[in-house]
Order: sequence, then C-alpha cells, then structure tokens
Amino acid sequence: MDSILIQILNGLDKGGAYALIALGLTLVFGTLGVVNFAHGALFMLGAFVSVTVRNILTISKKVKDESITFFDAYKETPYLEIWWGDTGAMIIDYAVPISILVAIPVMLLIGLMMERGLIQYFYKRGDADQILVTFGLAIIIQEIIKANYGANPIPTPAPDIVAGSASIGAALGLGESLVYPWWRLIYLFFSVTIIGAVFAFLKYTTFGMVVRAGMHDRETVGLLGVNVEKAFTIVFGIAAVVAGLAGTMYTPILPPDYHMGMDFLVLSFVVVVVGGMGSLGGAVAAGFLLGILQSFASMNEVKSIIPGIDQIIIYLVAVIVLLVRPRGLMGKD
Amino acid sequence: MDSINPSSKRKDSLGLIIFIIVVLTAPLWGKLIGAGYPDLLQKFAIFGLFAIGYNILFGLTGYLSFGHAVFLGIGSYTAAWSFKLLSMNPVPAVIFAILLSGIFAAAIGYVSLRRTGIYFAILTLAFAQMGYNLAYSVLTPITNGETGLRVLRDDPRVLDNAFGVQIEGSPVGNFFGIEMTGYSGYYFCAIMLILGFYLAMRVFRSPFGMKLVAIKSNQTRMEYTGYNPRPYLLTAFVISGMYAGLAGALMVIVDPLAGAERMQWTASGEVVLMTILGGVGTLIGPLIGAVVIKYFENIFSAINDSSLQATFNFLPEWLENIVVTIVSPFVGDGWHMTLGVLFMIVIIFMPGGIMEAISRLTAWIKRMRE
Repeated sequence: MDSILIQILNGLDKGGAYALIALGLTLVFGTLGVVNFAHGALFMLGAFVSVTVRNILTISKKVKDESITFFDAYKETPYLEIWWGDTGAMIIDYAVPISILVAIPVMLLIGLMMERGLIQYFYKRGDADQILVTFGLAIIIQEIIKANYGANPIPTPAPDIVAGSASIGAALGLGESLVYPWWRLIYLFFSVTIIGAVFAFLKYTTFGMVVRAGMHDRETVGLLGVNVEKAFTIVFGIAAVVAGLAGTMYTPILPPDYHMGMDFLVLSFVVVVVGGMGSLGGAVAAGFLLGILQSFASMNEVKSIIPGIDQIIIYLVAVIVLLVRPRGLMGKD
Repeated sequence: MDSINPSSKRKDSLGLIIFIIVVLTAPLWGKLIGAGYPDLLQKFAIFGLFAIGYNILFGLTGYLSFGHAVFLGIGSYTAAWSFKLLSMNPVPAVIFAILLSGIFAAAIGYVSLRRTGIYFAILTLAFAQMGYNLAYSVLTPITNGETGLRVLRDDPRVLDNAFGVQIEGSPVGNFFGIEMTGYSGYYFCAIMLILGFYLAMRVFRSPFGMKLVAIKSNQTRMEYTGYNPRPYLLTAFVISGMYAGLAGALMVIVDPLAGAERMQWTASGEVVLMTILGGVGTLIGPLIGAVVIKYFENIFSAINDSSLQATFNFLPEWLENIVVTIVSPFVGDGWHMTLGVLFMIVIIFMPGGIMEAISRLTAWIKRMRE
C-alpha cells in the first residue's frame, strides 16, 4: 500500500511537468494551429532562468579566510553575504523561488518575441514547414545554452527549509516509513495551481472567452470585430510562461542541462496525442496519467517481469491509444 | 513538378549515364573542391542514399517522418552482427540490414500511418526515441550501449570459418578479397548509390510513384477515385526504411562500429534538412543536399579558434577579435548551431531548396537572353 502510494506521488510530480508542457502545446495548437517543436526549448530556458538567477546572486569576490591563521587563505564569498550577512545568505538560499518572479516577465518576453518574430509568418504554411522551422529554432536555442553553460547538468538546490522529506505517512496515519521530498510535493501543488489558474483564466475572463471562441471558430470571431490575432499572440506568451515556470520549478528535481527540453518535448507530444489534440483537459489528464504509469513501470518488481518497460511505457500507451481510439482520450473528432 | 511527369526515356538514360560518370569519377573532381579523400566521399554516398530513400516518402507523399534515423541504427547493428556471426563479406550484411530494417519499417509504418500530418511526425519521432532509449538500456547485450558495437577478431564468423577465410589484423569489411577501406570502400558505396538512384528513378516514373504524388496533392480526392492510399503509403515507408537500413549497413561496412548515437533525433532531423536543402520531391536534390551538408560539416568542424585567427589575420586586430568572437560559436563543436541556422534559413526563404534555386536561375537567364 505504501509503495503504491509513493509511486503515485512520484508519478504525479513528473506528470505535473508533462501536464504543464502539454497544456502550453495544446493551447498554441488549438489557437494558432501551430505545432511548436521549440516548446521544449522554452521549458529548458525556464530552467536556465533559475540557473542564471542563482549565478547572478552568487557573484563573489575573494575574501581573506579569517579562520585559517597559518597562511593567507582566501575563499569566494558572494557580495550579498558581504553586504547583508545572513539576510544575503538567505536570499541566495531562496534562488529558485526568486527566479519564478524573474521567469514570468522573461518568458513572456521570449514568447512574444518568438510569435511576432517567427511563428506569425508560418500560420499559412503547411504543417511540415511549421514543424521544421520550430525544430531548427529548438536546435539553435539548445546550442546557445550549451555554448554558454556547458554540456553538464547544473545542480540547483531547493531552499534549505524544504530540502528534506515530508513524513506524509505519519500525517495520513499510514506509518512512519512513508516519506516524500518536500520539493516534489511543492512542485505538485505548484503545477496544479498553475493549471487551475490557466483554466480559470480561460473560463471566467472576457479574454479567455475570446480565446475559447477563437479556438472553436476563428473566422467568425474575427468577423465579430475581435482582434483574434492579438489575443492569440498573448496566448502564445502565456504558453511560454507556463512552460518556463514548469522548467524553473523543476530544477531542484532534475539538474538542468541543454537537452532536457527535447527529452521532455517528445514525451509531452505523446501526452498531447494520448489526451487528444486540442483538448486542454485531455492534455492535463494524460500528463498526470502517463507520469504515474511511468513511475509504476520503473518499480523494480515490474522491471523484473518486463525489462526495459520503464523506457518505453509512454510510447507503448500512445501506440495502443492511437490504434484503439485514434482521437485520444478526450479529443473530439 | 516537371521531374515527376513521365518524361522521355532517352532523357532519363542520359541523366543516369551522367550520374554514373560523376559518381565514379568523384575521387578526381573531389580533389578540386578539397573533398578528394575516401572518408568524406563515403559519407557523401551513404548519406546521399539515406536522403534519396527518405525523399521517396517525404518528397513524393508529403508525409514528414521524424524518426528515420532508427532504421539507420537498425541497419548498422544488423550489419555489425552479420560481420560478427557470419562473415566479413559485406553482401550478407547488406542483405540482412535491408531485410530487417524493412520489417521494422513495416511494423512502425503500419502503426504510424494510421494518422496523418502532425500526428504522423510525432508518432515516428516517438518510435525513434523509443528505439534510441532501448538501445541505451535493455538492449545493451545486442547494442553494447554507450560503447558501441565493435567487430572483434575472435568473433565466431561461421561462414568465414567454413570457407577458411582468415582475418589478419583488425577486422575490416572484405568483398571477396577486396578490403572495404579507402577508395575500394567508396566504390562499394558508390555502386550501391547508383543502384539506389536507379531504383528511385524507376519509382518516380512508375504508376506507383504517380499514386504517391496523388496522395501528396489531394488524398481525399484520391480516395474518391477508388484508391486506398494506405498500402501505397506503407510501401513507400518500407522502401525508404530499407534505404536507411542500407545506408546504416554501409556505415558499418566502411568502419566496423555501430553506435546508438546515430539513432538520435538530430540524425532524423539532419536527413530532413538534406532533403529540403537539395529540393523536396526532385530526384537528384536530396543527394545534392546530403553532399552539401556533409561537405560543410567536414570543413566547419575542422576549424578551431587558432585557425580562425589565422584566417582573419589580415584584418586590423580589433576587427579580427570581433569577427572571431562572432564566428567561433558556429564552427568546431558549434556545427550543430550552423545546422540549426541553415535549417531555419532554408525553410523560411527557399522551401524549394537548391533545385528550385537552379530552375529559377535558368529561367531568369533565359528571360535575359530574349
């Protein structure tokens, strides 16, 4: 029972990342009709916003180490600690949460630039062209990051206060052995919050209504005098922010490297296909579902029966879904 | 689309003869452009084959596959195992690689072709990633994981032992006594390339090819005329998968080592770029695209910062530093960056590729004359 619960939890946080990326993909596809192969790169950029913020906060200078008296020793001390002492150290500790505040405007800007600068010229072109041009863009973004940050994963720790594990077992009365890292729990709540916010935004605001109407019938909404184009540009920006935030928050779980974007993108595409292309609810549901499935498949008990199943379970599910129910779990025909 | 119309047989035979002459004399004219060494020429032929085959699917039917590198990998592993178990002779390696990649292509194609457009691209990409992940994890006994599959001296090689063929030194492909290294390796690839090109030409001119084009231009209308497009699509998919398998086998034949990295999604993307750069749906375009990309990859990867400095030495020092900083991310290890930029430029500005550029140029010259 405990091990099952822990696998579900394990799957939920990864599923949260899939769901967030898939949500953005579906939004962009539903509104703009563009398949964005650079969406994974946005996720990766979000993660590197967090790395950059940390790098900036820890800009250091060499200070004489007073604790060593035999010879002159120097150690790197961040300016923040020199200026503000413990407060400074705390700010550095909270680098990841702080980067969220930075990531929102940065990712919005990147998203808008991408849409205005490139994607808007590709609305009228075929699927293949859209896929290929965003694929090229993804390669370029990836290589820029690789050139500036190197090829190795960069560890970005969560704040100390949530570095340990939560004893959920004790809280739920299921035994002490059931523990779960705080940060993963936070990530799960974070992703659910973001997803809820996006859905509420689409459902309860006038802007959201325009977007939903536009997804349904773009031409008619345009004829009614609504500037659909502008609304869709903003949607692209929102999708970029969602992907970026998913990446920023994911850094303590997985140290970011330059190819994490593509790794997640392929899986997220599968998630979108399984959920049903164009269905927001389907994307979210399939994201969590596949995350959980993957985590069950990576249990040793399962792996000993079918070796390697953890590597391919998601693709297998996608193949089965496409064969049995081609429009996906919640997609409309 | 003039290349697809059934043109006169004489024109085709002439084109084929020119093609054969150009391919067989490649070591001579290669020297003029600084590509006159066998390693690079082998790459031209191998990736040319890969792109020509890919074009039969993408160029004719318009179905964008993002996972063709997986067949390259399957071909490579099959050829390596044929070297290990049967014989160092490339003939069984080629035959088995084509057969096995064809079988896998049939299976993957059967599933993927149930959807069109974006779904198809994503499905093929998912299959390729699946193959890549498996090659690195569970299939390590077959693929030897990250180290790559090597052909060793003391492998069983049943056929070679039966016929008493001895291997001296490190094992290399051996075509009835001719070692598959250097120019003899190139000529083996070249003959395969000529055969592959001839076959592609026949496919282009055949009624089957016409049906593939019909799928590209209007699938619904084709269905209305009473054709079921799926069998034709699957056949095209399998043929292009076989070409990729052959290319993968040739890689192992000229250099007996198979690694999973050639199944990565970047490799699948590269063949798409070759096809588009040369000219989608044209006969010779994909080969030109492959040659151009491999040629520039070879040049760009070899450049490092010091050789850059030497090149721009004639500039004033401040300008030299600026130019070197701008150019250096694109060369050496940064070749992928150049590839990405090239990708975008080609798709944004010349979706027709080099062949369209040439035909526009000739049309322009004609107009100038009149």
